[in-house]
Parts: sequence; C-alpha cells; structure tokens
Amino acid sequence: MKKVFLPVFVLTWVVVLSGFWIIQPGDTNSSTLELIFIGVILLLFILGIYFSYGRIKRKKEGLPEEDELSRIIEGKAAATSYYLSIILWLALIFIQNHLSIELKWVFSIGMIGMALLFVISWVIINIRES
Amino acid sequence: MKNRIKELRARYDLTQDDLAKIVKVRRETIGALERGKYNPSLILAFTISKVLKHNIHDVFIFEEDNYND
Repeated sequence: MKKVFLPVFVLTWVVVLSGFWIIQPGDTNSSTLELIFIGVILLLFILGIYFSYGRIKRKKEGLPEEDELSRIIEGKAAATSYYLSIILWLALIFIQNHLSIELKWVFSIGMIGMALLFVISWVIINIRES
Repeated sequence: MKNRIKELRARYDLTQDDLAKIVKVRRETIGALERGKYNPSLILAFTISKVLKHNIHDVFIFEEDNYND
C-alpha cells in the first residue's frame, strides 16, 4: 500500500505548494499563464490519482502493482525525460538571457515541463513497449 | 524471440488474467509477451514455462537471425 499512497502524498504536496507559489496573496489578477499552470498541475494530479487507482484495482484483483516490464518502462521514461529536461532547462536559460521573463515563470515552466516530459515519455514508451 | 505462450495458454484453458496472477505480473505484460514486444527476464521465462508445463526452449524460441535487432 506504501507504493500506492506515496505518489498520492507527493502529488498532493506538489499541488498545494505549487498553489501557494503561483497564487500569491493579494494578487487578484490571474494571468493566462497562471491559469495554464493551474490547469496543467490539476491535469497531472488527476493522472496521478488515475494511476494510483489502477494500482489499487490491480492489488484487489490479486495482480502485482508493478512488474519487470512496468519497471523497465518507468526507467526508460525517467532516462528520456532526464535528457529532455536538460534541453528544456538550457532553452529556458537561453530565453531568460534574451527576453525579460520573471524568474518565477522560468522555474514554473521548468518544473511543470519536467513533470509533463516524464508523463509524455511514459505514455509514448508504454505504447511502444507493451 | 518467438514464443508459444498464447497457444499453450489456450491449451490449458488459461486466460491472460489467470496466467498473470499465477506468474505475478500485470496482464499487460502477458499481452506484450504474446505479441513478441517484450523479452522476459530469465526468471519470468522459467516461471511461465513451468506453469505451462513445457521446457523453456519449447515455450521461447530463439531466433538467431534477429539477435542483433
């Protein structure tokens, strides 16, 4: 059960802390970028809940929550998203040097981008490998 | 590597779900194995062969031509 609740626990904290970070007290004007971030974070949270539900369902059916193939897929997705994240951060540093973007947005795009890259890599590798 | 999991599973009237539960993997893994999209670990290959009551080389057929693919 630890394997099920750990992702939910982490996801909840990510959502809560991201909320505190993006929605500053007294800041009543939500920009389009803020709304996009909130949407993406919520989407990632829903995906996390969906995968955790899948694990609980498999456990109830007497099937393992993860196996050798799922671990290989996760490993490949992690490696792919790691390489892509380096490119993303380098691109953000380049953009930050040439355009006047607030550091807050650079970090937000970087962190949410990393999460998205992992999800996209996982989906593509999962389709290809299984 | 080719395999006869689907054929032997049908012979013993086992569903993908049944086999997955016995060998303790996800149903998707059995599907991937049957479609030849995934080569199992040695332990899983031996376990599946044991459940299907055949030798490992009768269940999993090594194709030398595709070895470097």
